[in-house]
Formats: sequence, C-alpha cells, structure tokens
Amino acid sequence: VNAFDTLLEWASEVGSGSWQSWREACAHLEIGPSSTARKLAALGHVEFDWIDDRFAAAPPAAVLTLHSSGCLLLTGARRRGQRERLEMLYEEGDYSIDLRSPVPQEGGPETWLVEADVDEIQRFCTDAELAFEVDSGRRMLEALPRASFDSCAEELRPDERFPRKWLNPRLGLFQANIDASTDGLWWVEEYRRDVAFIRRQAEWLRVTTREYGPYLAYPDRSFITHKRNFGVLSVDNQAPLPPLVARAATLQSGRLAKRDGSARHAYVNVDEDLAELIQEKLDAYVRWE
Amino acid sequence: MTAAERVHLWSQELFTELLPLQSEPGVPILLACDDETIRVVAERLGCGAQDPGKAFASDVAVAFSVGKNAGWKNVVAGNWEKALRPRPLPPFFSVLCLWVLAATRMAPYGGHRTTEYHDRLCRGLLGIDFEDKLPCFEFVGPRFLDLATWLAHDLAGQHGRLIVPADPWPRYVGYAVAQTVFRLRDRQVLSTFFAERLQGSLDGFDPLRRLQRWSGRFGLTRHALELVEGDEFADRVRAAIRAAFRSWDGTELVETESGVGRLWPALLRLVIYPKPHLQFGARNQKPLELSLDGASQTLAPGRELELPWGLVGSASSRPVDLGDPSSPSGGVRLPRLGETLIFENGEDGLLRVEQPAAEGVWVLSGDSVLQERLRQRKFGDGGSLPVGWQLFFEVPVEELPGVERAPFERPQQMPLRIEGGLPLGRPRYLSGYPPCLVAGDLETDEELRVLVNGRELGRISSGGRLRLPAEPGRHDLEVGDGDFKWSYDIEERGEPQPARLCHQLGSERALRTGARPARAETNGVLVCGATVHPPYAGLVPLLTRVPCDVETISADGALSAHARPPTPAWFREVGLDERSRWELFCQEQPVWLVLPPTGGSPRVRLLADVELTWLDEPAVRRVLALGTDVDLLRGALEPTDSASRWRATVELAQALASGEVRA
Repeated sequence: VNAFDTLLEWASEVGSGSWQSWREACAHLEIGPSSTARKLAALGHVEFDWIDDRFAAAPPAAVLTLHSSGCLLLTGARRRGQRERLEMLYEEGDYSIDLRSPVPQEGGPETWLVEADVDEIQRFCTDAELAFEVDSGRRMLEALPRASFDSCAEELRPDERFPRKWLNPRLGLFQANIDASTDGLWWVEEYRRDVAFIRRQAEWLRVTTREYGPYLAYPDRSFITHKRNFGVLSVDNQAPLPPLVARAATLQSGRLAKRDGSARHAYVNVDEDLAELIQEKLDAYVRWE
Repeated sequence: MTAAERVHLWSQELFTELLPLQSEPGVPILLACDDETIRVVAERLGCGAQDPGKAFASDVAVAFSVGKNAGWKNVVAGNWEKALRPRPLPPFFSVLCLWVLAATRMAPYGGHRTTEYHDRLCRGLLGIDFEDKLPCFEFVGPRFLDLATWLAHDLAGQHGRLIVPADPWPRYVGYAVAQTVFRLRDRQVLSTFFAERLQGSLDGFDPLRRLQRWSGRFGLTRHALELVEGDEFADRVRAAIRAAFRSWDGTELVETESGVGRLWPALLRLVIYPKPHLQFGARNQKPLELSLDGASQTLAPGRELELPWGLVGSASSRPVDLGDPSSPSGGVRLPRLGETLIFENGEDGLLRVEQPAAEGVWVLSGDSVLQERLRQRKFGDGGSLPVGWQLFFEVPVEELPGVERAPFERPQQMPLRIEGGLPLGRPRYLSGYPPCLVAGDLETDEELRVLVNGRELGRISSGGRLRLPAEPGRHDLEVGDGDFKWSYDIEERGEPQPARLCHQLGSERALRTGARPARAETNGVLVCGATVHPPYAGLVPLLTRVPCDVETISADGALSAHARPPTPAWFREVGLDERSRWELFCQEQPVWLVLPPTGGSPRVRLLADVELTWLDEPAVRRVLALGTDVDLLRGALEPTDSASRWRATVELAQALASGEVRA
C-alpha cells in the first residue's frame, strides 16, 4: 500500500470534496496533486470537475476489457476495508473466480484483478456491489467528440496577474522568459492549477481541458508514437493525453503509463485500432513504428 | 426619522457589534463601546457625521430627554424588567453604550476621575454645560447588572457573560470605566498589533497571550499595559481585545494634526504582462483620493493603481504615505521596501511578501551584487524597468541571501497552525492520518508545552512541527499556558457525500466542460469513472485458461476454431502468465468446448444448458471423429447429464450424416 492507495481510500471515504482539500491531502502524503489527479482519473477511480474545482470518487466497477488480460479490473471508489470484504466474499461465496493478489504500481494505486468465468461474473459483481462493464475504455473513446478549436477552446485572455510559460515546440520545453506576443501554447500558472491558453494571430483562446492544448496549438508536431509490434503507445511528457483519452488507453491494461525514456511515457496493450481512434479523436499527428 | 427611532437602530447595531453570539455560553465579555465601535456602526447606519460619537450621544439625549434637571430618570422608566421572558434588548442599552464611550474618552491618567468623566460625558458628548453627575446617574450600577442578568438568563449566556465589578471605584463612574481597557492611544497601538499579528484568524488563540508576546505592546498607555501584563484582569483584557478586533477595519490608526487618522496598508503586486510593472491596492471600503506623481487618482475599493517607479525608490528606505489619513476614508501606507522585493505566486497572483513560503519566487532588485548572482534568471523586461533595477523569474528562495522559507504563509500572523492529515471534513480526520501542529514565529525562545487530552505530548518551538495523536476519538489540544486551544476528532470511516460527476459526451461542450454533476435527464453517452451509459450491448467473450487452440460448437450448430494468442510481455507485470485466461469470441451462444487430448482421449466441456437440434457439416465431421470416447470436463450440468448431452450430440451428428435429419 503506497500513498496513492491511501489517497484513494481517503477520497472514497469522503466521497467528494474541493480541489483545495485534494491538494491538502496530497501535500500530507507528499505526492503531486495534479499528476495524482491525472493518474487516478485515468484509472477510473476519481472524477474531477474543473469548473467547480471539485472531485468525486467514481462508483466501484469491474471492467472486462476485450483483448486484454482476460481479467476483471476492479476500479472506482475503494473504501476502507473493501479488500478484506472482497476476500471474505471470495472465501465464503461459491464462485468460480480467482481474486488475484493486489499488484502494486509505481506512482499509482494497486491494480486489483479478478479472473472469472463469464457466467459467474454477474453474480460476483452483484454480491460485491460492483457495476459490471465491458470494454468501457474503447467505448468512451468511440463516443468522444473530435478535438478542434471549436469543441475545446473559447475566446478568453489570460489573467495578467499570473506568470506564464510558453511551450517551445521545437525543444519540447516550457520557457518563462519569452516575448508575450509569441503565438503558441502558454501555460498560465494560476493558483489553483496551470491553465492552457493558445495565442493565435494576436487572439487568445482558453483551452478548458488543458491537455488538448499542445495538440491544438502544434498540430504538425507529433507527440504520440504507436509501436505496433509491442502494442505500446508512447506519449511526450509535455503533451499528456486528455483525461478520457488517457482513461481509454489506461483501461486497456489497468496499468498506468510508465516512463519511456526521460521525456516520454508509454501505455501498454494499445492495439492499432485504438491508436487510430486516439489519432482521430485528438486530430493528432501520430507516428507509426 | 425621530431620535427615538434612530436610537433603536443604534442599539440594534451596537448589540450586534459589541455582543455577538459566542462559540460557547458564558464567555466573559465587556461592553467595550469606544469611538471605533461607534464609527463602524455609524457607517453601517449611513451616519456621515464628522464625530459619530457626538451624533449618537445627541440622539440618546433627545430620546431619553436627558437634561440638567431630568438627568437620566427616563433610563429607569418603563416595565421592561417585568416583561415576559425572554425579554427583548433592554431599552436603556444605548445609554450604557454612551456611558462606556465617555469612559474611553478619558485621559489615560489624570486628576479627579469622576469630574473628568462627567465633563467628557456632559460637555464632550451630550453638549450639556454641566460638569457634575446628572440626576439619576446612580442607576448606572443596577442597569449594568440588569444587562448582565438579561445576557445570562434571557439569552442563556449565548452572547457571553458581562463582567460587572462588585465594588467599583469611583463608586458610580467605575461601572462604566470597568468596561474599558483601551483608550484612544491604545487603539492606535492595537491597530498596529492587529495589522502585524492578527490578519489571520483568532480562532483557537488566546489574544491576550499574543499581545503579551508582541514587542510593540510597550506603546500602550501605562493603564492598559498594567492590565495586559497582570493576571488579575485577564478575562477583562481578553474581552476588550476581542471587542477591539471585531471593530478593526484593517487600517493602522495614526496621529495627525487634526486628530486620529487611518492608513490602509498597501498590497503590492508584480504584473509581468505585457510589460513588467507594479500595482498596489488596499482593503479600503471607500474610494481613496491619492496623489501619484503629482496627478490626482482615485483608488476604488477592490481596484488597483499602477505604482510609479519613483515611489519604489522613495520607499526603499522608509514607509511612504499616500493620500490624507485624516480624511474620512483615510490614506494608504506603502511599507519600507528595501532594495530587493520578493513576489510569491498565490491565489491573487504575484504579491510582495517579506518571507515566502513557496520554493520559487520572482525578484525585483536594485542590488547589483544580487543581480550578478541571479543573472541566469534575468527576465527580459523590454526596457520597462527603471535604470538599476532588474527582474528575475523562478528564483529558488535558497539563492536569496538572508531570506528563509517560511514554514507556511505569513508565519507571524498565525504562530501556530494545524496542518495536514486526511480530513473527513474539519475538524475530523481519518484514523492513521492525523494532522500536525506547526509553529511559525512564536515570538519567544521558550519551548511551549503541548497537551492532548490533558497529557503532555511534547514541546514545540518556533519553526517546529509535532505529529498529533491518530487514535480514534476526540482530542483536545492545548499549547503553552492556554496560548492556543483546539479540538479534533479521529474516525475510522467517513460518511461519503454522494456526488456523481459525469462526462456527458452527447453535449456540444463535452470537451470544454469535462466532468460535471450528473443531471437527471441527459442525452448521449454518459461516463463516470469506468462506467459507461448506455450499457454494453455487444458480445461477451467466453474466457478459458486452456493453454492450446480449441474449438466451439454454438447453439446454431456451427463449429468454430479459436487460436490461443501469444502471451503478451506485460502480463508478467500483473502476475499473469501462460496459464491465464484468454477470450473466445462466438457469434452465437457456445454450447460445447472441444479441446485436443493431452495424452488420453479428446476432451469436451458443456458450456451451456442448450440441447442442440442442428450441426453444420464441419461440426458433424468433428463430432463423429470424436465419437463417444471423450473425457467430459466439469461443465454447465452434472457429469451424468453432460454425458447424456454429449451422447445426444453424437447421435444428432450420426443422424445428420446418414440423412435421417434434414434442415
């Protein structure tokens, strides 16, 4: 059990709360609030409302992802004692299932997997109070609108009270000491969290879901590479996938993206169909290897 | 509006201001009505008099027909005492406030206290040319006791317990004087104390202990200082500080040629774009008229003005006052800025701080040595800064000589703070993850004792940190000699607040809004965590862990071959291997799973309780090839029933092969 498991347990015990309380809990556990929010959202444990600055634990669910491990991935809220309750249910109930040992992961909560026969899944989920879902990652990605300036951004100038950084697309670095009239993606360091703005021909656009920022600002730059033979989707650290896209990629294995060299991270078990879908939904330039 | 109606309003507002609801019943309080209280209430009532105290006194005098002959006789008139409980606010409440106000206007020391008091009251406030006690003033004592009784019984002590001396001196005037601790000069000193030390919350802190530790307390009058430093009147002084703090508007009171003036501390902001410049504002509630670089400008409430660079230079060695402090709305005081200004990014942007809590800050400096040291972080200002000044970005605090990171924001404002823990809604925490007690600047070299539930937990000094107990239950914390008191609960479980946040993907704004509270009626796909609505309606694969290729016979009699995929490398990461399950996709319900032999006979497993009535040609051939000599694996039915089903399937295949059965 690591700090991320503890945070998830806390979030499940409060059910919902403010971004401020999330930050404070993360500070207590000495983990970054934004990166942790991104990870727990990608795994389907917690949802974030960036308009009202709130979070809420998602309903507990058992996900069967097709072309994956053949296991159910248990995600959503994990209240204190839930693991013990599942183990008791497993031992006392007559199910043809195998509740596998929790699998720790660096930078995130444990992965809980259950191997089960299909005809047993529904009964087990009902008794364990888990929603049974099939292939939800791919399905949410299929339903996601395609990214564009119209769908992702609105005309708004950055708040001049806060410092900014500009994403240098050539170097892949955020830089503070840049002329304010430079076009491209700007990261405005608001107190709550950094906010993405795009300056385009002297006009400012605010990208509400900030992860879309790099893809909209620099459509000619490739931030994503798909490695067919390994089923790996490699993403530039400066352009993390937007929340639901990241969730679709993460639920393919139930594992968070891992470091891929010093400047990238990689999702496993992403097949070519899903990578093409990600390319389409982000309107992004994906490299194929 | 008549004077009586105005007095009614004065009374209501003064009661609200002076005797608010307390956190617990019976807290000792004073009726600490002074000029600052009257000014606050006058503003609320829209009274624009130059001296609101006199306006108030005048209304009281008219409403109660106070005169040389009648004196205060109407103060004891009426049947208020006999009214039904709980009785309303005493009708004489405003008179008690006026009597206390006169006491606060007395000189700190001086000759004959009774004479001075009546002179302040009659000549100074009521405008009656009389220097002795007006008739019926002897009811001052009973009336204060009436107020105390009313607060204790009718209001059940919820607004506090009024401190009334049993044996006041001077005999009558002493009742009013006893309600005062601080005089006008003391209010000036207190305003500095509040600005320097109490901008944060007073919650949990003993204000008297904090005043006793503040080095600026020696500016108080001797009368006030004796009360502050002695223990005899501790409750009275605490009540007086709390009352003064309540009516404090955030200004520093200063002496001017025309009396007391007020200065709002300037809040300084660095704005970087489009060109770096400084802005200042204050917490003023009315527009302030200021002169900047010879031009008259108005600082509206909640707004800011650009600070001319010339003033930054002037303020480098001393504070600079802008505007007229003696005007009704006051002026602004720019603090001494020095040669280097530090700006910390916070909720309101880059604000100037003395001691930053953040790791990185922006620095504006005219110090050439520092400029050389920080040259790697010099911000391109486009020539907008005055000669000699440079701006630096993201400077680690450790690179600034003589500057140390504060344990938290404004450590002097909050010498002790509760930090961390996993809160279940304050002050409740999840067991195992309690908060810490963190000390800022305690203004003492001593280590303060920390008690939890009466037992010593440890000691804490400035900058220290102490983990609080994590066991379930209520914990009462006390630091020092009652300097700080606080309670919290530790619980094993929370009470999750039901709040469902969903991505509504049918909305045009889906990518702009992200997750939002779920609505009852919504179109399109709804995503919450890993759940997707509408539910999945496609095929659910059959999961098997057999380590080889297999075949299935479906309910429609079709034979399908399934090749086991290679085990991907990432399986190992989650503890899976070649023995793990894999998926068989069948368009129709699979009924039989056919597996190759492992040394003995071929194996079959009944997957569903379905009686087959048809087999396609490949299935017929396969079943006939298998025959009845198969190993039946555990399946959907008992072994004997499964065996019977397989025999029936073989018979069906034989019949189809012989042409006995046709489609």
